[in-house]
Amino acid sequence: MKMQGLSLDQAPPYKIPMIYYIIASFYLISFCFSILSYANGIESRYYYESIAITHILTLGFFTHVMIGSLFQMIPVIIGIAYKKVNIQAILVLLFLNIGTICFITGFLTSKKIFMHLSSLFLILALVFFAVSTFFTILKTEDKNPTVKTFITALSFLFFGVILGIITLINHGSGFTSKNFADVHISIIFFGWLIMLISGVSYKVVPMFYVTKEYPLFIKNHFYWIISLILIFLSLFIITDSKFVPLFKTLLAVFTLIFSLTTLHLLKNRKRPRRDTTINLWYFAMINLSFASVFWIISIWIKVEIDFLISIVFGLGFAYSLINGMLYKIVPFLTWFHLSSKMIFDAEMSQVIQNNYMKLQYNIFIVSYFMFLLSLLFKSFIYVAIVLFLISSLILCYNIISAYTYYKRLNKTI
Amino acid sequence: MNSNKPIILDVSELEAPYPLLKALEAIHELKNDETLTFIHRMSPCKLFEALEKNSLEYKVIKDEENYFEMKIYKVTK
Repeated sequence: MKMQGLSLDQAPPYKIPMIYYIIASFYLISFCFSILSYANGIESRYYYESIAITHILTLGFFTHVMIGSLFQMIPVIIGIAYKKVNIQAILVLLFLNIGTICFITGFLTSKKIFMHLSSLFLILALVFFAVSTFFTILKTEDKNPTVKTFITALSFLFFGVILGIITLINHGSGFTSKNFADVHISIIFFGWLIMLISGVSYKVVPMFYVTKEYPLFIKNHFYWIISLILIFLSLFIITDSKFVPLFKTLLAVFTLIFSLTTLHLLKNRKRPRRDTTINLWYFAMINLSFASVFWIISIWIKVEIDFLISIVFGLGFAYSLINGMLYKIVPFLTWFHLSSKMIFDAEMSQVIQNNYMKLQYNIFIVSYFMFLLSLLFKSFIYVAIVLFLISSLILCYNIISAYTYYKRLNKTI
Repeated sequence: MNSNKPIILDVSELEAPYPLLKALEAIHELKNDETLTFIHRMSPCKLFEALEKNSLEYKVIKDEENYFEMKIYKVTK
């Protein structure tokens, strides 16, 4: 057993992750307005509007929350501090926002100059973040499964961004970038998003939900098995190989194993107390299981269920999980920073009001089922979007209220 | 250490950050003639810093999957 050499001073200031979270919630609201404007005309995921809307959610919301969390979590969980974390975090935030806004503008106005500008800024933000975090984590002596999984996820972020940029730069220039786009999607969703979520889960699920540890076979083998499958799958997609369906199925099967393991751990936890965050974790993992099964069905039985999978995976799994993590991380961070300043009046349960969390969660769940219904009856899409917008506004309010809670108590010194 | 009065603190069913808070309270109240047996379901990385800061000695008894136990005591000068 190794000792961690961390002091509370090594953690970045409270405002760093919180700025990321608040901006992320603004993007979430923009996401709602953009679907409201364009949803009716989108017939395929390759439509420009569809690409723009997807990236408002992935770059605007998911990436902001993930990067903001990592800036905070790496020093606390891994025990290694970033060098000049303030400067790094602000630069990444600045470039990420310019890149995201240029990307969305480029695809919504079909102007290549914005697409190329976004390539430059997204490389600056995401490649810099991936490389910087990779080498920061590498300094730790304790190469536990979480560390290995984080390192793998960051490597995939690096390659996923590069592939995305290749796709973007060659867009509409006679070069077919559809294969590169598919590789980019596979790597970002499985190599970065699910890989990172698995690494975070190994720490967060037992710590916050009083479950048993993840089984060793998952912790020690999931990251390299997924990596191997992804590397082969990427090569097969680019070369249009007949092995693509088989490797996509393998990816889905191992993802299913991870989601079912998480559900099993949550179901058998020692203190089966229900709260909004646990409901969101359950909902996310149930949806990840369904998404994996639907994906396998769509691979082998030629049915067109891209939009169903997008809703189940994107909103049902990824969004729910990040929403749930925010509701665990934000109160914990607020308490953690106040306590480190010797302010002991802070109560984790008071940081975000429980009834507002519940309200936001309930409205989100209804909106989610409305999105599913909209696949059968198109008019439901507007009800779904309006409900999701209300839910996003409450989420935004909840995050800002945590920040004001911190400010209020911090003034008492 | 062996002749010290034993105190047992089992935080294995508490969610974060309460195991750390309970441990900090306990080590703060620890007397020279007492040994605190700390039981948790995982290695409490942040507790080690507090032990070092407070010049406390500790001995890890078990560090296994889902079970961690250590003894904490004051240095007798």
